[in-house]
Amino acid sequence: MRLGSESFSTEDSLKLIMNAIECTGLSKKYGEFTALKDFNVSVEKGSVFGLLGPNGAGKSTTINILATLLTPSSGSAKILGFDVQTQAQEVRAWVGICSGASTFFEDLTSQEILNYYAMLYGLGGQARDKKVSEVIEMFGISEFKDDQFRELSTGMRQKTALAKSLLNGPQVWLLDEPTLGLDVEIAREVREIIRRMASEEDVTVLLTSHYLFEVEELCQEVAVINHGRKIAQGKPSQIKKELGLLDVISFTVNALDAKRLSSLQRLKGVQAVHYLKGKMVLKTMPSPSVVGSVVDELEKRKIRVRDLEVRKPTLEEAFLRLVEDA
Amino acid sequence: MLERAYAFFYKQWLKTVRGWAESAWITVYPLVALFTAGFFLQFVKGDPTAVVYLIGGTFAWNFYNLCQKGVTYGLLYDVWDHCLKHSMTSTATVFDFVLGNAAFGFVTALFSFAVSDVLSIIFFHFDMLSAGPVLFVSFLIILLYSIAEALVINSLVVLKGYQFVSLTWILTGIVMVLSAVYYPVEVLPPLVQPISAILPTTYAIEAFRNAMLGKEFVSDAATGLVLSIIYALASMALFSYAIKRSKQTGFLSKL
Repeated sequence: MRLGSESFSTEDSLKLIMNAIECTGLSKKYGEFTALKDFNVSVEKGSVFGLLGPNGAGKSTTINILATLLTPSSGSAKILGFDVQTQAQEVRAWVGICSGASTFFEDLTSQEILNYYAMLYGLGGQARDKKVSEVIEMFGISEFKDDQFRELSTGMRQKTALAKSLLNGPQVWLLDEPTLGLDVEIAREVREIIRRMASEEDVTVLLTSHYLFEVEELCQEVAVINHGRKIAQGKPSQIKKELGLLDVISFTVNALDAKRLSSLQRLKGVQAVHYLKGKMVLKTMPSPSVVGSVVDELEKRKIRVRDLEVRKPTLEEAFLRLVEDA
Repeated sequence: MLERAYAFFYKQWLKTVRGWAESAWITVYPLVALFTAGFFLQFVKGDPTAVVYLIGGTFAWNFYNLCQKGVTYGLLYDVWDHCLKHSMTSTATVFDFVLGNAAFGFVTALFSFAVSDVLSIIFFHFDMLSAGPVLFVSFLIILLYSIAEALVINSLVVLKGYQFVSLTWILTGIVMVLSAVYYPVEVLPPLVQPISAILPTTYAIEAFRNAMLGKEFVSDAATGLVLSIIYALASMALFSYAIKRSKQTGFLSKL
């Protein structure tokens, strides 16, 4: 299909766009208070991007701007090339939004709620029935579809909210703490759907979450914001590396042998060695060769150890470091 | 486009059939008003002019009430259930919102009118349809003005918050008093008569009353229609502005 041909559809042109989300110098001020300042970010199409930050950092502000619910004070934001201010209608057609603990009309059933929102997106007749059935099946809510929203459990309410956010077949899915308050099983189901939407449907996901293991598990790239400013961006592994966070090697060893292990301190890559209550803890540079040389040293000295563990730094540790330093 | 407008109608229909309180607005309250006025007239053995003023006024008030409620509740249901942002992030427009909700208000008002008129004929030998076609012009004026009033209330809610919700019920009373619902405009104190003169409802009521009493009604109907169209268009612009402004202040995302 050629550019400029009559049969070239909007969907075709969207396929050519590399970055699904583009924020340039985005700022939001409420009087003297700055909620977001000079925020720049590009999110590649089909990726899952995490937006991290403490409460009040500016995450929801960013999502609300992208969803056309909030007007930025300056800068620009584009979704699939459409400007959120001047082409809001096009943006809304391609964006799905869901927040944690979403609420709907308490006395309507899940199915009625989904029908209503499907209509608001212009879906009628069979197309609506098909789409509503599809999302009901995707989120496993068919058993509860005729229950009023007030009767639903937190999990089912959130599943209804997530189902609603996919009614328009969005290319960009904005998820503001989508697993907030969900039990482990449902949260895992939701994460699986997010992963599937990105990998199989090429949907771009912008995700905020306070559960950093979730972000680490799902996101190819993250940005950390604090007090409205972006303080870091990159792949989770890259951020941890740049912060110089250390691996932790620990093992159980008797006190006598522990005294013979002072040589560990001199190994390349070992930054600190502590012995406490039968446990030896080494803080090392994140390199597999360091673990190898520690094991070699133990074997050389014929020291038997138990419960050997190598723990990599988590995104949570990186996040805390970033926020503390900022 | 019609699907989006129909969505608002569908939501209101569901909310109405789900709750006794909601359906009472269409059935119970209009009939209570009709029978109160009707029995009072039987008691005082009112002359035909008084019957037109009192029962005709009751019909007008009910019609106005339901039309206005249709449009205000179109937004308020979302505000009460804290889910306004879901419809604000959909592709529905202000025009869809007005069309769907006004249609619901109009249909409920017509239904209520039909039931009330049948009962009015049976019990009080009074038929509102005797006003002739001008009655529907009056209803159109009332509908357009109700849209305007509802959109002003909705704009205030979107801009400032819940405290303005009560205007939904307060304004209907005030406007009906000022529109000379049960009496001629001349009865009102001279100070407030200029206010009635700018209310389309004054002309709508006067038009069908005059028609029933065999007087000239065209000028009232025309004035009311022009005023109500101007108000409806202006209020749509105001509501669009209110949403835009509320997005700037950040208030909309909190509703």
